[in-house]
Amino acid sequence: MKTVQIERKLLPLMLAALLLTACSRESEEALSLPADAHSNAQIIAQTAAADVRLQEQARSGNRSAQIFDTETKLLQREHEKTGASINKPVERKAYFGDLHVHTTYSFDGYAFGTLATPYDAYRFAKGESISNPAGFLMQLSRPLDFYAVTDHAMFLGVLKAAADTSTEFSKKPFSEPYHDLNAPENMGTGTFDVVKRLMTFGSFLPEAVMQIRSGELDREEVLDVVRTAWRDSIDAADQHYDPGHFTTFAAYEYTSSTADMGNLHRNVVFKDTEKLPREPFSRFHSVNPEDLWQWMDDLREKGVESLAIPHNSNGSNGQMFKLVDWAGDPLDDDYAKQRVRNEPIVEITQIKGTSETHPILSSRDEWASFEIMPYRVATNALSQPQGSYVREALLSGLALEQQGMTNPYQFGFIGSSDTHSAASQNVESNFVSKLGLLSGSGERRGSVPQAGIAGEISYVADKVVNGIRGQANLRLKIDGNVYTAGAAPTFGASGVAAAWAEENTRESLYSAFRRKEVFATSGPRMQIRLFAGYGFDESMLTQSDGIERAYATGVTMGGNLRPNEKAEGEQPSHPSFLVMASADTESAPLQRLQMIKGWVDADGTHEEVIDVACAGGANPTANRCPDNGAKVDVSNCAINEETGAGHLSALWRDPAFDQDQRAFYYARVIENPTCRWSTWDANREGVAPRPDLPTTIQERAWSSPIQYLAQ
Amino acid sequence: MKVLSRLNKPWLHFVVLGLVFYQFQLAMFPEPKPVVGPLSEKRIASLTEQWARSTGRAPSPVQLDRFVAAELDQDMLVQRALDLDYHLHDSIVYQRLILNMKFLQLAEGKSDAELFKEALEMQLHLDDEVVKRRLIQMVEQRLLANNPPSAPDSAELEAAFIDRKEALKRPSLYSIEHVFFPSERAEEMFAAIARIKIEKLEVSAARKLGTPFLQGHRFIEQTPDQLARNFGQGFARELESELNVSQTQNKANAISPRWLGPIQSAYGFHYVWLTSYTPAREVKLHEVKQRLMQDLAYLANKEALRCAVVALRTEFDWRGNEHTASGEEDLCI
Repeated sequence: MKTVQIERKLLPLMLAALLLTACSRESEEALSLPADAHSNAQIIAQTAAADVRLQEQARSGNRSAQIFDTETKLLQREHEKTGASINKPVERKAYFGDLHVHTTYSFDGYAFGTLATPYDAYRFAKGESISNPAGFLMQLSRPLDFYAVTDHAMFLGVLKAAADTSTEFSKKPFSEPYHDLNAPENMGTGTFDVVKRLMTFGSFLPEAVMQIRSGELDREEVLDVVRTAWRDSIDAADQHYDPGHFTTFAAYEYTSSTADMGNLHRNVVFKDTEKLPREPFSRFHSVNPEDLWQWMDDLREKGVESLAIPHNSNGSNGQMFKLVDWAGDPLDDDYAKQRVRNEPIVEITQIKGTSETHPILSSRDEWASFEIMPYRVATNALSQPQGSYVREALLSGLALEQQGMTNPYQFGFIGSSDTHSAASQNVESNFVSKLGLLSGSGERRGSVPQAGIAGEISYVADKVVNGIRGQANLRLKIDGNVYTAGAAPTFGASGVAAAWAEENTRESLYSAFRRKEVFATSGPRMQIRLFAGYGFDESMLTQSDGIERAYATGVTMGGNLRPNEKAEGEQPSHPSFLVMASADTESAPLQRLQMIKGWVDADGTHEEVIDVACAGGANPTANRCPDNGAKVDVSNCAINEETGAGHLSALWRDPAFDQDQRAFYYARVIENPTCRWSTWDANREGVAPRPDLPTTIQERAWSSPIQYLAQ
Repeated sequence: MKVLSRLNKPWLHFVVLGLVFYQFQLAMFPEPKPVVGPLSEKRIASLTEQWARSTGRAPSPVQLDRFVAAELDQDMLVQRALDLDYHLHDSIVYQRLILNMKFLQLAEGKSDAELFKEALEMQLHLDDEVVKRRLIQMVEQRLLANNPPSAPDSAELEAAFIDRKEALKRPSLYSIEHVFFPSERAEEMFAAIARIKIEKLEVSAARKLGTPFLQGHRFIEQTPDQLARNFGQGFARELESELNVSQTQNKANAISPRWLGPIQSAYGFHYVWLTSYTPAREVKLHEVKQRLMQDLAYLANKEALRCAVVALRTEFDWRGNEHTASGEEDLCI
């Protein structure tokens, strides 16, 4: 009691001190680019505080509660459309799509004001315009070839049902606080409205779990809502599937995390919709991804084929590619085989950053700082790079193999958006991020300062409130301007999935996913091909049947290359890599084509980045192309197009190839620099680009790796 | 006689005369209709501001009239719901009002029923947006149940089909194969093309004279937009114009397979073998019937509700401004 009284007396003093601190120019934060966040003392301190808070939250057990029983009951569905071949199979072509899209059925999407349904999402992908929650229209400049709505399985459709007062579910006391959440009068974008929305977003999950655990909310009734939304999502996919022209997949997101908010999210994509589970497996069935794989295996035995695609390993705090299993035991063959069986591909890039590698892990890769989102997902706490990035995971896989174990990390790469407003977001010049109402303006996205006195007031209020609560600020001051802080400004307009397939059907595309003949781009529709083989020669670059020969005699991206079998006494030949890329006709030209090699030897794992083809026909020296003179005028985002290439190709032989050395190779093609979305925003507003964000980026595409299997 | 004597009762005369006077009074002095509107200046300003916030511009006078009319209709529906006591018997309204009482810290020691009763006495239900929306929803459901939309008939389907024929048109489809020459091989291209023509090479043989093209060599039934995605917009336009020129020269109606080009793309030059071409065409009704029926059913539902709301206005003293909703009534039968 005494303590409380003292605190009360001190409170005005504390407030005054905080106000003074907040108003002081000296209080401006220490700035760092996203890729340097791990050496920013202020962010490190903020992370330590967040860790304490996360530990406290974890004690409630709500986030990791198992409140639903695992089941593999199937939906029986009438089927009209099949994956039958449309045309006689011909050469494989690149099809572009997005396998990570949230709609109004995701609890967070709904909390961000999204009203677009899965049907709207597919209409958008086909080229129609749909509304952003902030009121404006969103439309692709060209349609996509495939699309999968992947709403969160946890409480799928439940927030929407609670808010819609015409549903039975809305009549429950639980639903009351959410009534009419997205009614027009509640769609304000003022600070107060946004704070209210954030509070709703923050309270929904713990409240739902708590009430189910206590019996106040009937779990079967909740599952009924989930199953209904899931069926509707599948119906939307079937209704919009147009074999040969536009492909959809039944899919959802499994949204698990560790107690420290290490992200373990996966999208589960089903091969077809003939037989599907009655309900999706969510974190409230189990937070352990190994249980998800077991569920997928059990379904596979019943004829339901699916794959899981991990994403945002960058925000996993080292958890996504760690070297122990959920229980903390060393990985074993069973774990590795099950993971490989269920997770053939990973999402290497998306709005919440790119997970290829980090400058801390790849100090000799000058392009490693591309669209780094340094935080754990949905926090302001730093994510540990080790164990969080894809290239390092590929290397870890090699090291595990060297120890005689099955390699669990042999995946291919795709990109996807993770939009929460049903609309892919991967064009820098019109990026509106993923958070609906909460990212509907440059101010909210953090690219431009908050104008006028409102910015100052919100900054001071935020500093006072979060100062008292010991939490990271939602705003920061740079050169006297108030900006949105945290992860939002580090988000990227990135993430496209591409597959080399015979035709645009579920069967053909899914088969490409399975054999990992897929690639990722950061947005532009560049195309990239990679083959490896032993009989390759230079004529494959110039003769029109080069690609057919590569298919016939080599392996393509995602494949395994074995040592060349030679008769005894014969010198073993070295493999060659046929690598080709073409620019997107609606984006910047290409600057360089690179091979990325990872290998393991007695000293451990190693990686190298090698430029193999340069714009303008220049020859790389010391594995690097010369400067091609590409420039961006950041004041208007104009580029000098004549400096780049429309296509680049090379037949590359690894000079350091050792036939007894296990290795992987993947290709990366890099565009000339262009304006980042935040620079486009700043130019539109007539203000200077924010100094702690890169002003330009180099868009890119990544092929899936080819694994060289040594003897 | 007996009947007449029975009617000759004072009390009966009193009752009959009473009824007659009552009816007369109803006819001559009807109960005033409930008043809806006019909208206050403050609410009109708020509507204007909302519109400006979401679109970045002020509403036109016509748009503003429409907003005012819609707002008045909402008030009318709420009024009707209150007349029908919907607010007394709905669980959502019940919960909402109890929550409001708790928020106002007036709940201590009271049962839910008591809180609900007090909330009604305090008229909290008249100011709460969620309650209002719920009441409107219930009245709309009732209006629609009493005035169900008719299912679209074949004449409407036909009319919609004719109206939207242009929008539903299927684009032209090209099936092509091509020989690709990157810009650095442009010089060799003309010799190669001459050889293809002189030797009348099959497309498979001709392709060997070119270079691999990453996007592929065979494209089946592609719309101009799809071709543009692989070759760029300029290529798709030039292909169409080459085909038109070639067709004029051939003077034949049917489009037979032929060589076109060379055509420039974003990547180099393409000598194109047109395998087949399907001109843009209008769709047949059966191809779009389901889609049109869905659209018509949605519109019919919307129209039925609009007309029911318009009809309901006659039961109210609906005070819009002079332009508000003018002419809307004429469109409803």
